[in-house]
Amino acid sequence: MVPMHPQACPGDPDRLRWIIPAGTLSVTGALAAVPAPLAVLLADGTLAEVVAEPAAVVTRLGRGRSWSAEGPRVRTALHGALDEPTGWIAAHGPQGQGPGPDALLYAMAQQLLDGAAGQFARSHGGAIELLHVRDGVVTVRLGGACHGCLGAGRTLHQRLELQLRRRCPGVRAVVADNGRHHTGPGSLGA
Amino acid sequence: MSPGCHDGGGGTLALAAPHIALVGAPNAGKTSIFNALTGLRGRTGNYPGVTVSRFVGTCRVGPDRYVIEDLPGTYGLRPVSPDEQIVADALDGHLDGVQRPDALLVVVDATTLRRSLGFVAQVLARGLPAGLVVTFTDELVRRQGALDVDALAEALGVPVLAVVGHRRHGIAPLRELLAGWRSWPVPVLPPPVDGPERDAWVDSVLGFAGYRAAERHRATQRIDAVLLHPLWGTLVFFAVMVLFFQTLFTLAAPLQDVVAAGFDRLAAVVAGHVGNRWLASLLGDALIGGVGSVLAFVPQIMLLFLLLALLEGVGYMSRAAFLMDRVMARAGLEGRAFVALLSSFACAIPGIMATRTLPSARDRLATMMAAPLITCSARLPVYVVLIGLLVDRSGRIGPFGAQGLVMFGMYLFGAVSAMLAAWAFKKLGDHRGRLMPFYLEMPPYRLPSARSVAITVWDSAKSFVYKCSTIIVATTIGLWLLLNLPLHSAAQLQAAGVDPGDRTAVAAYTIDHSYAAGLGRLMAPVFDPLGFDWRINVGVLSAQAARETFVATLGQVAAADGPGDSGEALRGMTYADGARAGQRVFTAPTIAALLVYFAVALQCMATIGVIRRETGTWTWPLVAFGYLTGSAWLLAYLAKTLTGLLTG
Repeated sequence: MVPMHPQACPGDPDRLRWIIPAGTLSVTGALAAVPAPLAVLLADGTLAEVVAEPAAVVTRLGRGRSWSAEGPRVRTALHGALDEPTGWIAAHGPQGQGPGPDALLYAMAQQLLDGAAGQFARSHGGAIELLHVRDGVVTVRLGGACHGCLGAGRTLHQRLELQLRRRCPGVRAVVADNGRHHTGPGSLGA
Repeated sequence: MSPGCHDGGGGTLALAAPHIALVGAPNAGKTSIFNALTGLRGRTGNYPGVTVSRFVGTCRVGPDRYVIEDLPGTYGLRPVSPDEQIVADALDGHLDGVQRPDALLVVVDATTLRRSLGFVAQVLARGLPAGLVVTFTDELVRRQGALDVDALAEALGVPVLAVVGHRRHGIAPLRELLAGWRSWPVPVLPPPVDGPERDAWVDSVLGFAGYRAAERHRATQRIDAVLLHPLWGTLVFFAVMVLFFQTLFTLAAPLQDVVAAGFDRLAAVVAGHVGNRWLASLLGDALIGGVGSVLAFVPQIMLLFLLLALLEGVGYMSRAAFLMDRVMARAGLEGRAFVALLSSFACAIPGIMATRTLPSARDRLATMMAAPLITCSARLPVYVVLIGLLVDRSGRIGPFGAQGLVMFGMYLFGAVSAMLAAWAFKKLGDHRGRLMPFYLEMPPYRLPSARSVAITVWDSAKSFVYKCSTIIVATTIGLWLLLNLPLHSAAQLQAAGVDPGDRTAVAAYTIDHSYAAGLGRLMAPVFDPLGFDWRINVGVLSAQAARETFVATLGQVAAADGPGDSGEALRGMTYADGARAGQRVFTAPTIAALLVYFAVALQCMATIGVIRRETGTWTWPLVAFGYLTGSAWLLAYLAKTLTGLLTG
């Protein structure tokens, strides 16, 4: 059974993010089709939406449903669906062409920066901005109080890099780019 | 607990103090967190109707009060043992007189996080606001483990805090966290509590939190390769035990002589300076001769506790439990019962209290019934005196002193009979033979902290002296009165053919016609078959309060016979009346009977009280008293008969 646990999506009680190991699914984004156990829940209105992320599946509850009542069913259905990774079909893009490893890494890094790792920097008056990912090297820009902070490098490596490595074994390095704008954010590995 | 605990702090509203319960596995560090939060101001009691004790204390954060309850340590919430039943009932508010907690602090040991998460899942599934306290993170890091506490909080959806209880690291943030319990996040969806879904959840949470299990301590691993080896480990275990007793008897003897010599000097001072005959007798015979002879054992008692504290502190005790697990299994008990029985070598009371760590009520009871048979430190003075009478001090068998060997034999006898008793009680009660889940923590070997060892030794000496100064002094003075009353006028003495001027003759006459003698003679039909005379009967009766009193009684009787070596006086003591009048009392068969009687009989009011407290009923202390005293008599009779046949 695929290791999986749910996490709340702050500010959106109808959504649950089910954390799964990176690479379990080869699709990301909206889905055209999901395996039968999940499809049933979408059909009967228990779930309104299922979205795949590089290391998670986000489910949105149908109208008038509650996680306390439907959660266990959704969990069991998800486990069943994750056992058939080929049944997950992306809503857009050519079939069979999953995102490249750098794109996965980019999405994961963004998720971490939106979550606990970024929150830590923000709580100290800093900001970490994701610039790009090329060949497994994640480049970020340290802003705010991070600039010139002796602890910034530590935060980057102890929090971001370690967490990223935990979820994406393909990461080679996390480096800080000191403010030269030679590449725009979001320019993925070409 | 008390919903009536009102906040008296000046506000217009009197709010009941929030009730926070601590839950977690045994050894997870719950108690040190409880102590740190409540400042050791906990109260103890029992849960209604069961044998599980209850700890409740108060924690103040600013103006607010929190009632903190330390629930019994459990590995799960499935009611397979009384402890787990209590915790499960307490969390559901099903316990009479115990308020349902408002919030929970779940205490987990970082080094056993994988196992603990199953328990965390069960607790979170109850739906109460919960915070997680992770202990031993320092040890996890030292042993190359890793854990991201913030990521763990994110994955679990509840607040998580690392606290190193014994260093008070993290206690201040914990108090802050407590103050905000009303706004603790609650998981949107409680985790699954069993099956593969639970395992998948545990794996995922651990992965998200970057958990890397602690490696086993390298030195510990190497030492354990030998110490837990089926053959070498067992040999080392017996070597340790032999060393244990050798140290106990060889090292303590000179110290004991020093204390005894001090009391002898004191007795001489009293004899020389106290003119009043009654006061001199009370001070010299009862207090110095009686209580002093028991106090002479303080060094030995301290040494015994020092050795036990060292074995425990180094971490050898749980290895011994592991090795003994197989032996204990023969008696139907688990290794942890061995730990309880081993503590009984110091005193049956901590041994009986230690049965709380046993998950099965049946094991607990069997261990409790067996613990009083283990040779406790109170028997030590009695054995030393009796063996001194039985075996010559210079006698040797091979390289070992004969006295030491007889002593070792007495300890072995106690241990074997305890195992037999445990086996019998287990057999009587349990027909299903269900095996309980059994986790035995193997702490890494470490040097015990000098402070905790010193505290253990100091406490043991203190409570021994306290016991001497209360229960033994009281019994001894009572006995002294019984031995010296009624008073006889000069005319009565002359009529009985005693010269009122001869103090020794008067004392002998007085004692022989005292109330105590009457009482002792009353017991004659019971103890005559064992060869006891009325003086031994009085000693055995007085030992019913506490075993050491026997030594005090013999000390008094000997002192009354005149000054000089009390051992000599006892050896020469003869039956005063009856068919055996004039024959020596302390013959080998009588001493053997006495030794066996003291080895088996339940002569300790404190033990009876503790069994009553731990079982919550009078049935078990009465059963223990009945079966132990009954078998004591039978076995003593057997010992007397056999010794009589052997010695002719």
